Amino acid sequence: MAAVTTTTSATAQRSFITHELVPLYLRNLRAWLRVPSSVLPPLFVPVFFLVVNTSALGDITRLPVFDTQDYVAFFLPVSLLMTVASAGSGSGISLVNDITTGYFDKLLLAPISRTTLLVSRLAMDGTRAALQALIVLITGLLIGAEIQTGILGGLFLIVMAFFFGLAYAGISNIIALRTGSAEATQASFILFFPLVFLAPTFVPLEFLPGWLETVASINPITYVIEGMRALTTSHFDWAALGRAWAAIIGLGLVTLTSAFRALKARANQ
Amino acid sequence: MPTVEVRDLVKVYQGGVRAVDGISLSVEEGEVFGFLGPNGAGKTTTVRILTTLLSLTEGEAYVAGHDVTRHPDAVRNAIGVALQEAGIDALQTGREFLQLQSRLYAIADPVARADELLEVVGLTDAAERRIGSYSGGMKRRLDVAAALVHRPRILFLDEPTTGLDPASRNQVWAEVRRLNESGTTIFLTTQYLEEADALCDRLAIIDGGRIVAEGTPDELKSGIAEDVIHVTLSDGREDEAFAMLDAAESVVRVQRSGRQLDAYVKNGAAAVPRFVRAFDEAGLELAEISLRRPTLDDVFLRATGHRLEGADAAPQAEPELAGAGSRRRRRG
Repeated sequence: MAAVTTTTSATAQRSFITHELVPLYLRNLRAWLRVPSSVLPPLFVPVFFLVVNTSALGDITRLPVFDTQDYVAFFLPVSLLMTVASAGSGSGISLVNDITTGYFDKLLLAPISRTTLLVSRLAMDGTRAALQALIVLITGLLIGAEIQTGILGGLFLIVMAFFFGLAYAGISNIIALRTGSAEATQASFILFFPLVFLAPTFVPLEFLPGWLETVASINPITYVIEGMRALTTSHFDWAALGRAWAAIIGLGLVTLTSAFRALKARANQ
Repeated sequence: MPTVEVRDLVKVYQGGVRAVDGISLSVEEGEVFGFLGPNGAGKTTTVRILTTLLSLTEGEAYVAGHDVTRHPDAVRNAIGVALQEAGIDALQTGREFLQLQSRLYAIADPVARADELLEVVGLTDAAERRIGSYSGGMKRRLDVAAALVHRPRILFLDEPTTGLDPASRNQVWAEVRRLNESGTTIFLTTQYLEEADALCDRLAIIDGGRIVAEGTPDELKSGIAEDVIHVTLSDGREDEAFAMLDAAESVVRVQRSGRQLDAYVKNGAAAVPRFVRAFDEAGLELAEISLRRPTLDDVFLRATGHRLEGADAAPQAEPELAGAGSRRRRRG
């Protein structure tokens, strides 16, 4: 055994990309794709909302407060964010799974950078968010939405979904790393309700009753929805897009900084 | 310099639990060193500190010459670790798992290295299957393989056979011996007396976060001067038998485990016929009476005042060992 093993256990020049980031990213991707229950449900709810809601409420756009007649296009950003948020919750759950099985310890024992553990996971979460968003977007087009800003606007939507996915995944990863508990991490999905529904989800912001408008105006998701909605229903409204990106980056800074801090705390117990 | 050197190690968890309470030990290059103790004795905590997964509260620890606190990366490169929960990934195949592990350690040819290790632990046929479908023994072997990708000088095995059936356990033992013969220093923890006895060159008995005895298995056993006379009755009158043995002048102490009685006796060979006569006179019917030398269990009992809890869950490996069966029965 000794004679054989020495021939191939020589080590190569270590590279962050080929020895850490890419192999772990691919492993996370495989782990996601191999669990059908982690692929389909995150798509089901947003698509369900998109189809049923827009059928039921489609005529609401006749109200003067709407500046579009295309309710599917109006609602599409909400469905995109829903699918991205559920992808983000799934991220923490698979991290808890790694912690519970001890695989996370095995990764901590490897001579790799601590940061990679989270970066490789977030890269996968972003990918997953973008892929799911693409499927929801195509569904929207199939049931009649017209993206006013065209293919370029669609691309913008997917890129925003990718980064919003990163920022949102930070939340479940913080809980996963701090608690190591599947129940607690699962519960982080509850955050999704105030974030997505205390926002101009079904009607424009001005149409919300007073208190709800106030709450919605301090909810970062509001600005993400409005930025995306500009792309689906009107034009490249740079002011709205600027606010959307500010909200995504702001949320991301808060969640990802805390997530990396939580990782550090877990790695240095 | 020893391969593993620990001085006055203390670990206090948040909340105040003192899991490790001043441990010092050293492991020489090429040894199989064992940590024997019950659940919660501090074995796993110590291993996690030595393998850089846990910070220490007080004391010093060096592994492969590196300070675990100051140079954790150097330690990680020198050691292989298989923790108690085989840290494996149910959704990957065995081959993917070892290839990934080889990449993380920057092995030049990860594909070839994975194939080699699959061969070494006898999992080539299962290489394409997802690990979730593996048996407990296969998972453990794969975990050991994963710990070996970079040919570490020191291998830490935390309870490598807990929960394994006897056949799988023998495979792990054979693997440990083979690795040790090829020059790897082994630090293992176990709650099984047979395992400590069979595998370790030297061992430390740990209980309540402290090392209570240390030495080679033979040194430890010969530290107990008495012989053990083992008695089983066929008529269920153990209480009387206990009282009788306890009263006998030559008996240092009597241990009762259910229907089994163990008497620690000076000069056991002379005592056996006396006991047989005495039982006969008292009308107690003997099912079995035998004489044995002290075991590590007796050493443990002497050092800690209690038996090794959970040892009764050990898989029966070598039933031909005298007294092996009775030793593991639970106290009544």
